[in-house]
Order: sequence, then C-alpha cells, then structure tokens
Amino acid sequence: MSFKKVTTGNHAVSYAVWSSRVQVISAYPITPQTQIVELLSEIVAEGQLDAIFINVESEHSAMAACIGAAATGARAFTATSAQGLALMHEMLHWAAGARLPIVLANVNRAMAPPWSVWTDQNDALAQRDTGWMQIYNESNQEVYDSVIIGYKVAEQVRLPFMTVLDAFVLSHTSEPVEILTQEEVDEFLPPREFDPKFYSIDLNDPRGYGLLTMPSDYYEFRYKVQIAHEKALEVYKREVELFAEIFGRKYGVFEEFMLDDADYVLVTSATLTSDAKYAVKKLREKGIKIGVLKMRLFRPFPFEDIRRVLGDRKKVAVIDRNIGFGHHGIFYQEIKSALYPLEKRPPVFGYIIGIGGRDVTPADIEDIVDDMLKREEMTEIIWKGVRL
Amino acid sequence: MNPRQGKFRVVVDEERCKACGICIKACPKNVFDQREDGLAVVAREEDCIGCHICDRLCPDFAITVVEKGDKPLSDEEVTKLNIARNYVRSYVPRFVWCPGCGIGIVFQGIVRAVHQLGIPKDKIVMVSGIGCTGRMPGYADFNTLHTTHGRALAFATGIKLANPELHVIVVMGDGDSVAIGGNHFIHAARRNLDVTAVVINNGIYGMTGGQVAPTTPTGRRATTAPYGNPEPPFDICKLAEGAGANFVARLSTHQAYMPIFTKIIAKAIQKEGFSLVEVLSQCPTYYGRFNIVEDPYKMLQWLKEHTYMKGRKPKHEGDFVLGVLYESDREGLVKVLNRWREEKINASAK
Ligand SMILES: Cc1ncc(C[n+]2csc(CCOP(=O)(O)OP(=O)(O)O)c2C)c(N)n1
Repeated sequence: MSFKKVTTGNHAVSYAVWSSRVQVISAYPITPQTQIVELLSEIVAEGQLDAIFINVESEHSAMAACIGAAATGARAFTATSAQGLALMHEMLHWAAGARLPIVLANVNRAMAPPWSVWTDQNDALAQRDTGWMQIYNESNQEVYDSVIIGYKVAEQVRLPFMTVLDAFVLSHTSEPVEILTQEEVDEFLPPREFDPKFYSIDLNDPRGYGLLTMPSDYYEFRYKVQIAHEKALEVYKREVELFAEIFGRKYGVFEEFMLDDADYVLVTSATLTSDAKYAVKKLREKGIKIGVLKMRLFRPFPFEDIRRVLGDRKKVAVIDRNIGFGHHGIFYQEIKSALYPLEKRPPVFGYIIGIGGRDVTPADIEDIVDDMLKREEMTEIIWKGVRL
Repeated sequence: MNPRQGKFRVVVDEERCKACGICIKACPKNVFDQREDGLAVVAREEDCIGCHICDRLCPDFAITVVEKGDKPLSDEEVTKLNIARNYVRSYVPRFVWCPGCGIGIVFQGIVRAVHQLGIPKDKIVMVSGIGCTGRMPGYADFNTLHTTHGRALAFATGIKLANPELHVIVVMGDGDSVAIGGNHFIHAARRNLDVTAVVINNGIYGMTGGQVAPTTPTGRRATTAPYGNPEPPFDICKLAEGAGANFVARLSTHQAYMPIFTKIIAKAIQKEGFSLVEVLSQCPTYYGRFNIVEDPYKMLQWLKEHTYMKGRKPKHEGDFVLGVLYESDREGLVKVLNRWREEKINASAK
C-alpha cells in the first residue's frame, strides 16, 4: 500500500526517482537542488536502488553522462538549477536531438548576475526551444508524480522531460506526499527494458550516432522532433488519465480552478497559483466571477486546450514569474499567441511578479485583479510591485 | 618571566568574533578566556608575548595585537591599528563563513602580503568564482569581481590582458578551480598568464554543503560519497606544474602565523607568469565533521600533523608536502604577446 510521507519537494523528487527504478544518476551539486542528489546518493550507496551514481565535475558533464547512459538504453536522471541548467544548455539540445528519454528535475532559481538563490522561472524557460518537454508544479505531490509520468511519456515519444519546481517554496518546504509502493509504480511504469530496436547502443548491431548530416537530411531530423512533441501531447493526456484511474490523482495539461462560470481568468504557474486560488476564493465572495488556469505542461504547448478554455472569457490576466527580455512575460506571449487564431478573443493582460524570489501574496493577486478589471486594452507590461 | 611579557595590547572585537575558539586554544600563554556564549575575551593581557598566533589564525580579523606605545590606547584605537582590517570594506559587519573556517585565514594572508609589497589597493583586482571562497571579493577592499562557478580564471584572462598594469589575484575553491573550472586552470597555466591563483583546498564542495570533490582524498566521506570517495584526488600543485605554471607553492592554514605564509603569497604576487598557491584549509563544518573533527583548532592541528616542509620526511602515507614546490622563469603571457606584436605584426606593417 502506498503511504503518506511528510517531505520536501527535493526529497519528493528523490523518492520518485527511486520509485521509477532509475539506473544511472549523474549530477553536480547546486543550491537549491543538491538535496535531491544527496538523498539519491545515499539510497544508491545503501543498495536500495540498483543504480550507478556518477559524481561529475560539472553539469555539462552530468548531462553528457546521462546522454551516454540513455544511449545504451538505461533510464537516466539528473537534477540541477539556474547556472547549472544554463551550463547544460548545449547538452540539452543534444539529449533532445538524439531523442533520449532522460528526466531532469530543475529547481527554479534566478540567474546571475547579481547572484541569487531564490526562485524565478527564467532558467527553465530559457531552455524552451531545446526540444525538452517541460512541466511546472504547484505541490510536492505533483512533483513526485511528474517524475513517474515523465518517464512514462518520455520513453514512448523518445523525448527528454524536465520537471520544474520552485526554489525553497517547494524544494525546501515539507508537505504530505503519497509515496507509491514499488509494485504500484511498476504497474504504471515498468522497469526499463533493453530495446535494441531504437537508439540503444547494441554491440551486435553497431551504428553511428550524432554524425554529420548534410542539409539534405538535417531538416527532417528537426521535423521529427516537432512531430514527436505533437504526439507527446496526446501521449501525456492518455498517461495522466491512466494514472488517475490507478492512483486517483487527476492531472491535465493544465488545472482549472473555479473556471466553469468565470468571466475573468488568471493564468498562473507553479506555487504562486496557491496564492491566486486563495485570492480568487475571496473575490468570489465579493461576487466577481473569476477563476484560475494553472499551466502545467508548457512543452508541448496545449494550444487547442487553451483556446477551448480561454476563448470566450471577458478578460484574461497572465501572471509571469519570469521575463522574456525585450518582449513580455513568457507565459503571456504563449497564451496570447495561442488565442490569436480565434475570431473573437478576450483581451490578455500581462503581469510580472516575484522575480528573484520576491514574495507573492494573495493581496498582490487581488491588486492584479483590481487592475485588470479597470483596464480595457493591453498597453504595457505591468511590473507588479517594482521599485522605481 | 619572558622579557616580552607585559608589552602588548590585545583586543578582541566582539562584533566580529564568531566563537570558533581557535585563539583560545592556540595561545601559548593562555591570554584568553571563553565567555559563556563562546566568544573569546582577553583575560590576561599582561601575559601576551606578541607572537601573533592568535590574530593571524583568526578567520574573522577580530583580534588585534600591538606593542604598547607611550600613551595608553583605548580598545577602539587598538583595533584601528589592525592592518588586515584596513583591507576590508567598511560596510562589512562580519564575514559569512562558518566559525573557524580557514578561508578567512587565507584572506588575511593575502591582504598582509599585499600590504608588505606596498601595492596600492586600486592596482589590485581580486577575482573569484563561486563557493565559500568566492565570497572573498565581497569583503576585500580592492577592485573585485565575483564571477561564475569555475570561470574566475577566464574572466581574469580578460582583465589582465586588457590592462596589464593591474595585479590580478584569483581566489578559488578546489571545486571552482579543478572541478568545474579545471579546463581554465590548465590553460591559464599553459599560457603562463600573469595572474596569482590562490586555491583554497578544503577537500570538499563547501558552499553547497559538503559534496565530494575531485580533491577529496580517496576514502574520505562527503554527502555524495556516504561510504567514502572511491576515486583518487588531484594533486593541484603537480597539475599546475605539469600544465606550465611559473611558480607553484603549497601552504597550510596552520602556518598562517609564520612569516613564510605571507612571504610565499607575496612572492607569488610578484612573480611573472602564472603563479599558483594552494592553501590546505579546514572546513570544520563538513570535511572536518565528516572525516576528522569538527573543532577548528583540532583541524589545524591535524593539518600540522599531516603536512611537512619540502626537504623533510613525511610522517604518514598521504601527508602533504608544503613550500615552494616548483619555480621557473618562462616569459609571462603579457610579455610574450607584446614581443609577438613587436616582432611579427608591427614589423610586417613596416
Ligand atoms: C554552474 C554552477 N554549478 C554549480 C554551482 C553550485 N556551486 C556553488 S559553489 C559550489 C562548490 C563550492 O566548492 P569549492 O569550489 O570547493 O569552494 P568552497 O565553497 O569549498 O570554498 C557549487 C557546486 C554553481 N554556482 N554554478
């Protein structure tokens, strides 16, 4: 039987990696991620998880080692944050281009300079176009489940999968998490089997990987990554349904909160969603018909679902804990572009908040709603609480 | 009675002391007592013989020892005479390092070396990567640059070649310099880049909480090596020598009160080309607690016991040799590039 454990977001990742019977873990320490791999190194050293733990000399090497391991058919994992993820960037392209189902946990941390260890999303969102799937989490339970679901999807579509959790708010904060037994996880995600048909390095059938291609071929490789993403959306939807059937926890591409009759929608992601939900409940008492759409799956991006859910609302406010410099908040850009093909579409307002871990409170969200209700047209980026 | 006794003023700055206890245990004349909250207090100033073991081993620059003058000085006046303190930015209340960390001891060695050489503060650029060691440029009253993990030497290359007038001192942890930054390290040495690299080797990744590093001795424990490190460590000095450094020395923090400590750092700063000073240092919080002892003073004693000066014999297998280990007079990169410009480019332009 599964059991509840009070645990941090970081350790929820470690337990999920254990549950997923990962075979190779390679990592380099970085705050606020380090606890993930520290616990894993213990679990491996104690023989509880039959895996190889590789201490490497940088994140670049960590991802390279995962790529090597995954290419032999092993289930591979690494975790990182901010600078570490940025240093991995070259290898992220490689993992996706080589179509390897690696899972990575990224603890969102602001990029330097100036140095910060607190949360915002620019580190992960800067990896948007590497070909990785990405999912954002609001709770430690979501974090735990996302790793297991991640492998299940990744291995079917042969794309790497990144699960993203906020620094400290999740990584270092304890919540009750239902930990599944090995048998339960095995039923959903069977142990990885050697599959020589695909990309696995097989001594009996030697092949070359990553070789130089001419313009006559390269183009199709990229096309196939895109097709895999399109397929991944379907596979993800199918797998979360299966997951819900077995374990009772239902995840969609996003979460809808008080949306049924909502005229106004706040689009959020990650932990500030909890503040938004709290604020929305209060605003509902005042008679404002408002709800929350919490983004979970960011890549592949669920265009159709977004259009279906947001299409005929009165107004939409997107709250971004990130900034696409020279443009707008990144979720804002994406939501707006998703709505563009609709003939009738709501005005979308973009708010930036909580960069570098600045606290976000329900009162801030209420302010945002007040502001949105007053506005008619989107004219500028709104930097909530910025000191000028 | 020792004829030097009674001639010194000793002051502990309460605002800076972090109660590591090093001075209390290291003082040969038992000048200090420990307050209930752990802070050191001067109890028997008249017994001080001015050996400077306490102030040089103080990681927090909290102790000042000066010879008594004609006129009696207040504690504040004594503290103002602390040379090392003049190299700390005035707004820094105290260092963030754990009590008894060796990094502050090395920091003091560096600023005292700069003081001895008489180099103006503005002619020094201190560059660090990331780590506990990387915090030093936040405190040092030089031009400073706190860069990314492992890349300090790459930033320093740009600084030195753009403005060769500057003395560039690069402070790095062992992880910073030879794990993630290993490539820059060997190439700075190969090119004989005219900078002084001070590597503070505590055998572990300190800042992230005690993970195994490429310098962790085989068998030693870390959070990511719960049963000990199976791999062999780097010998940082041999690495530098092999890669082409002009000056290679190893020190240990327990030597900080000996003149040789600052002398070798000063020599490294003056030397043309790439100079490396590796300082073996204590991380009581992680390396010490996991492997030897948590007490900073006992860690210093351990370092003393397990190191030996070049030319002497080690006591145990795996002991570390100290001193200037290698020196050569290869032309430094700045001169090479200037000469090249003169000989090749300017000549062909004519
Ligand atoms: C690219 C990148 N990876 C990882 C980190 C996290 N990190 C910060 S300091 C550090 C190691 C510190 O160890 P060391 O260099 O030996 O210095 P010490 O803290 O012991 O002085 C690590 C891994 C980072 N800042 N950037």
